[in-house]
Amino acid sequence: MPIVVNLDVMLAKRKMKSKDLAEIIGITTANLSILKSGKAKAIRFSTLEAICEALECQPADILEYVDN
Amino acid sequence: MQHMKKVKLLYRLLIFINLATFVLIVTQIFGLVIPDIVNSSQTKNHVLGAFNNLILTGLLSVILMGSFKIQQGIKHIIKDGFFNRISELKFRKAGLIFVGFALLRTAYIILARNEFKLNELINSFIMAFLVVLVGMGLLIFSDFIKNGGVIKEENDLTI
Repeated sequence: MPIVVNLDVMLAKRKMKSKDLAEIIGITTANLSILKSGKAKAIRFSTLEAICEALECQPADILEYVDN
Repeated sequence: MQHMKKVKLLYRLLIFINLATFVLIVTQIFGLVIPDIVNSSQTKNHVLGAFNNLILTGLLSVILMGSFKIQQGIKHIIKDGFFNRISELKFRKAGLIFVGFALLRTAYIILARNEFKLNELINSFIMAFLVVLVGMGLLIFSDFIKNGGVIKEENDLTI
């Protein structure tokens, strides 16, 4: 898929663990792992909003379009 | 869950019907098919001769196969939920078997048309047509399960 999820990069920048982020935004670590690995088919606006709020970033910092 | 109760009830009913059909087939084999073949001279008035009951029992066996596939499909619905690949395949096979049965039954009716009264002939054709409808219904149901599975997967992978 040409949409790449850069959640790992943002987590590293904010020095935050996946487990902590999952807890803050209210999803399971398994679902966060699906999102990080790029296996997710879609992301809800509410989830994106919660991630941006927790990591103090913009959606574009997390999602990137890469032309194959 | 209320809907699973109904599915479980249908599953038990199907087990009972399939067992009864199996007993009927075994009884027919020993009570009609074997005696007909052994005493083949007594069955000359039939178009299909000594094999008339063999063919009818064969057709009943085809129905049992289809019904057994439905039973297996329902079993997997109870085990794995409504949208699963195994149930989809079982219902598809059951649908194809039912359509196949209806075609074979129609061929039998056409072959043995002289042995039927007109009203029996019409009823037999209507029954065959209804079985085709059941078979088509099962094929459509199988497609529903397939599409439902795709939607469920997408929903599960929406974070």
